[in-house]
Amino acid sequence: MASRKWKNQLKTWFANHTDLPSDIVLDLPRITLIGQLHIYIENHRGVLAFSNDELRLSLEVGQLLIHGHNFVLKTILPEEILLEGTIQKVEFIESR
Amino acid sequence: MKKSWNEKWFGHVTVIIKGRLIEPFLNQAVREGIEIWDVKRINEQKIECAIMLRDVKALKPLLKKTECRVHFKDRYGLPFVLQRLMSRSGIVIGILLAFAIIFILSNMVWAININGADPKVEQEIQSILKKKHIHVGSLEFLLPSLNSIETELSSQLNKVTWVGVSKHGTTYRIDVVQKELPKKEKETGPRDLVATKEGTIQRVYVEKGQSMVEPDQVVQKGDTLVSGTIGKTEDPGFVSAKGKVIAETWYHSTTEVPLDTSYQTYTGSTYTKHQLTLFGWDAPLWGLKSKPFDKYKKEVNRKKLHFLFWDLPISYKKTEYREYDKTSRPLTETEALTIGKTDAKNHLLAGLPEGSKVINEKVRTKRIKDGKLMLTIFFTVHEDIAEPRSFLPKERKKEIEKKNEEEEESQ
Repeated sequence: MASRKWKNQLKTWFANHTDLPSDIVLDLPRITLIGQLHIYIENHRGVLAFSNDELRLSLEVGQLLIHGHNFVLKTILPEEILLEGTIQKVEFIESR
Repeated sequence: MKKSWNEKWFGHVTVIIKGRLIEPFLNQAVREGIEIWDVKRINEQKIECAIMLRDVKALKPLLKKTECRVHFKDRYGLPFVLQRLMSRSGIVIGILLAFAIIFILSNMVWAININGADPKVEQEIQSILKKKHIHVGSLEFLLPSLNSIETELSSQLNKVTWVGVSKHGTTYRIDVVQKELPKKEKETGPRDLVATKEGTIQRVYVEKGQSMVEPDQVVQKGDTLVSGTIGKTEDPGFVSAKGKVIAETWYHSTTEVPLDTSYQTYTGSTYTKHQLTLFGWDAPLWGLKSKPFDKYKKEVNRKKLHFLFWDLPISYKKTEYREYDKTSRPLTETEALTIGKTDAKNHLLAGLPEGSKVINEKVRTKRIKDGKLMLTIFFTVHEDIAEPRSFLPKERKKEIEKKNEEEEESQ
């Protein structure tokens, strides 16, 4: 556990002190929202639940929960997802 | 959009997947590289999604693992269109037949226009063309090339000075220039007939004018043979002299005949290759030998195929191979001599006026040098040596007057 914490600290330092984007260095999701219409999530770790008004994605750390209506998964690729519909809420659920 | 193009070309299906573990199914499918899109939830147990037709097979093991069931809803794309067409084979056959008919009609001769020929010559041309299977309704790519039609026509028609064959789409156009009837001889002014070369007069035929020479008389070049001055010396009349003066002339001619000649003779065996050229690549239809004979001459006839008004990148190529034999035959001296004689004679006559006759030929010298027989032949020829030379009546009159005066003075 200690080594992992140390590694995370190193990564954070690296992201802060270089110009490299932090989503690449820290394995974070990159989320692009286009109004309420589209949400584009890169670097996810799989679909946990999908319905008309909810999408729950697993992330490297924690989960991402999206609420809205009329959800359609336009594309699913191993690390990318494009969701269409009316997006109302994007929520991060931290893992405890 | 690359993707939508792919979908149309390879076909895709929309499926309904039923089961409890739908999300794991989705995750696994995505990880396996199956393309999934337009995922919609229908109810707790069901989702609808689209997948590529080629990925359908890969679904089965995943479905088993995740205890899901699949139900196919809609099919899109070319493979399904084809399938549907196949079940209605009448349409397919109809379409193919229509294309075939258009194709055949596009490559058919629809009209042959003959321009510039009178009815008789036109008839003649049509019968020649018919013999070559060129008529309305024949397939264009099976016909001989334009050049060969042209040579065929011009060799068979002797009333014609020029024949041009061209093709406009499905129409053959044959332009003919006919020989015109000999024009009436132009009225020529007063003239004499003079000798073109030295010779001994044999016979004189005078149509108009006064003969100035007699048989067996030797004339030089430029001598007056038939005078255009007629009548009395006091009151001369002037006409355009006309006639023929046959004289004996002599020629020396040297020829060489190689004693060791090689001949090329066609053996008569031919080999025909039919090929379709697709984008510059030759696909054999009939005749596969690459080199049918050791020695051959080949003749290539290439015909483009058409569809409506387009030239297709396909052409029909017919190659004809004719075998020939090379034989070398050493000539004996006597054989070479006769060949040399006839050669020299023909060569000589080609340069002389029509109607010339070789009366006598004599071999003066013959020797063999460098494998060739060198000949000097002496020819005696009877030919027309008359050549018109016009004069001005006024000057001629003066000349005569002067002459008369001189004569009177001398008397």
